[in-house]
Amino acid sequence: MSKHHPFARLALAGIAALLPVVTAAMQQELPVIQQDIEVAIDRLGDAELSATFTLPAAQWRLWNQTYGQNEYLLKRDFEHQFSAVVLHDFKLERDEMNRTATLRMKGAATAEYRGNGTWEAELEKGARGTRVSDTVWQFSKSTVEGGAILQQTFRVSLPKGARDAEQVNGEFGVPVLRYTLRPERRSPWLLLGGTVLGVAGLTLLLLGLLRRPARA
Amino acid sequence: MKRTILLASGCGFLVASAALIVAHFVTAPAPGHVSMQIEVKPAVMTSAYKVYANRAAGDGRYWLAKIILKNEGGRVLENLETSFQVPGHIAWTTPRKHPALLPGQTAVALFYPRFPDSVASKTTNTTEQVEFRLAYDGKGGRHEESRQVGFQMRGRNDMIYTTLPASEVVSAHDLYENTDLLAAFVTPDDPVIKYFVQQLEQKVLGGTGVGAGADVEETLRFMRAVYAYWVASGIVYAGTEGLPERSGDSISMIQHVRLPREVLVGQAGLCVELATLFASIAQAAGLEPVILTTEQHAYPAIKVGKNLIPIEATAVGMPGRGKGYGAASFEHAVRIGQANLQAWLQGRGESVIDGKVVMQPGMPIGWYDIAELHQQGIVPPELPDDPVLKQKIDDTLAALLGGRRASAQAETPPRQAAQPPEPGVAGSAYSDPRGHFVITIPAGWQAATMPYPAMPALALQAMDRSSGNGLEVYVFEGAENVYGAMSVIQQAIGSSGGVVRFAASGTATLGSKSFTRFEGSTYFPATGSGTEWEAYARAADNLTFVATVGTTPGQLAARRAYLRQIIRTLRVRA
Repeated sequence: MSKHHPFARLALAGIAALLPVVTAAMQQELPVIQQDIEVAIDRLGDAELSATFTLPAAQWRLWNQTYGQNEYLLKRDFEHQFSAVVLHDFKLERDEMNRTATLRMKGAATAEYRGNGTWEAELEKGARGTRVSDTVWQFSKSTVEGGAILQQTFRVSLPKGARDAEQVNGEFGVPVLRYTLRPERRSPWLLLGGTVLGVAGLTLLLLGLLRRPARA
Repeated sequence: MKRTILLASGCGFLVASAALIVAHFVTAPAPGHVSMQIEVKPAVMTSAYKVYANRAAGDGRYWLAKIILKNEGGRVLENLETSFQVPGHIAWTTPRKHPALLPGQTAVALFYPRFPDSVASKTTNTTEQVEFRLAYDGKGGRHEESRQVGFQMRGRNDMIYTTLPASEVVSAHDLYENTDLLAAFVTPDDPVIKYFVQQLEQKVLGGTGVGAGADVEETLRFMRAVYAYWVASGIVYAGTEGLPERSGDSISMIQHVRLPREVLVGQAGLCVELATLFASIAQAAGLEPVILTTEQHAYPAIKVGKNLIPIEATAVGMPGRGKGYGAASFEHAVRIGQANLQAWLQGRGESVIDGKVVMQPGMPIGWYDIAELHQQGIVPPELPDDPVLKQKIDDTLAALLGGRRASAQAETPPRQAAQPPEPGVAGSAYSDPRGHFVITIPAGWQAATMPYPAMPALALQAMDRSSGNGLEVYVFEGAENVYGAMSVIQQAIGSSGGVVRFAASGTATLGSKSFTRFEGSTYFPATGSGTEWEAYARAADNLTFVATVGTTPGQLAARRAYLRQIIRTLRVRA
């Protein structure tokens, strides 16, 4: 079948394959579909993902035909598309009245630790991002998918404390969002406090021993 | 007094110091501990060996092994290295480095195997091992672990339509979830195919090619020439075949699909083989082929701008079957293709021309844009040049151009229009004593109720000994699982020494109730006997029905219409 980004599949699997034929047959203006995708990455590189979209009537019917009775198919499609991520805790919320759906899931290993405090999260090919703040990046993409113009907005939130984020080409030639975040280390205060107290105790003890006992 | 205070304070500070230092070590986290979860694909297609090597192909879904590592301990694990090998094919890969795995962190190692080109000539199936090695710095120094998991390496002609576990297969779409790899059977860069196209353009099309940017008229001219060559050179449709095999814990629908060069020279092909051959030739000529699939069929089409020109490649016919099975004209082949496409678009399983059903390809499954799939990395194997095959092409073209022109076309009616008359079912109605079903047993057939105590689900068996036609009705109580019921029957016959193979082939409505249709065969190697059959299965209200009608091997196609008349008399309670 045609290749689609998983979020595109989310909205359009089942109709995407019809695209060239439908356009050939109908030659009509394509509807526009907006998808909003939020990805929040935590300190371990795991992420919570959500994708919300609203479909025109025809696309909503076809999407329901594909996934309506078999939501597991969505999970399988996503697992195929995100091979390097461990997806779990899928949840699909559908609002039939407004032809809107939101898919939530968690993805372990969304970002990979590359050492020296550097992390990398893989992006979709051709994605170009904009820095919103130190920890928030936004990506936009517009493609023709499944007989519709698909406008996608990805908002990626990095963990608190992340810095120096930049979009670069990764190990396999795909774009990655690289950022710096030093791994949390265990607090040394107990050991440090104990050492200081020990030194102080020894000093006091030494001073006490050097001082002559008071005469009776 | 001061001395005493100093000594007491010093002792107190030392005690507090000791307490803090002890607390530091007592509350220290547990050492790092890595857990491993290993997934290995049950089978790989050697025709797609280049696909598996490409991390970018299919968005990365064609890995062979996937290792999920998680640090379940409390301390960082450092300098992790993962590597893989497939003994006999791939040496240990350069270790992939993971500088650290933090407590609670997950990392994934994927293996995209780079098989040598030589696997493209593999024609048999073998069981191979993938070995995985993990090394890391942990408590007590460097640790190493390794694991080994088996997988099947299929011969180059095996097309695996699905690799899902049996329990995951609930629809026809599930049975074809791996079908993007069909693009690996479209070989425009095969030196033999390129040579054929070159010769066709030079000797038949008068030195004119088509290529990118060709309009509808030019494209049709090229398609006509290809089709005419097929008809004139005797390329025929070889019938259908799709056999599921068990592969590990998965039920995989695997079909033997010859490479386009083999079909071109061998001069016979299944629908999917003719579709991949047509697509290969078209793509080699610079056109944009597409393959459309349904539950029981595959056919090619060519994209020309926003237009799509489908062609029913099997319309070359099966002349060996006699009158009515000859080749259709090119125009009629395109017309059937258009009817197929229309049915595909409308989600129908029947192709209609002028109100008449000309084909029953089944419900639409997929649309495969070959150039797009190749661009995604789903590419065919590297094929060597073959002067012998080229010589055969030369010989065929010389014979055709010397005698009949390649533009000669048979104008006989299409194969699809020729259906043997369907005799009626004269017989007596059989009612199941439990009231689960009713079916007509044709006159002259011998029937037995629950003939095998060891298989109580077999409620009725009837057979015509003279023709070898037969029917069976199974009723499974307390379960609703069509595929599970088929597996039980398969295992029961297997325990008697029989080999049962089957594949879902669509749906059917019997007495207003919907059934899943299967096509299959049973073979007893010890006696050399067997049957070919269709099964109709339905699960509802805690009952699963499986009714089969079959006949002797090689006769199913000819007797299908009659056997379907019998099955149409089936009425089930649930």
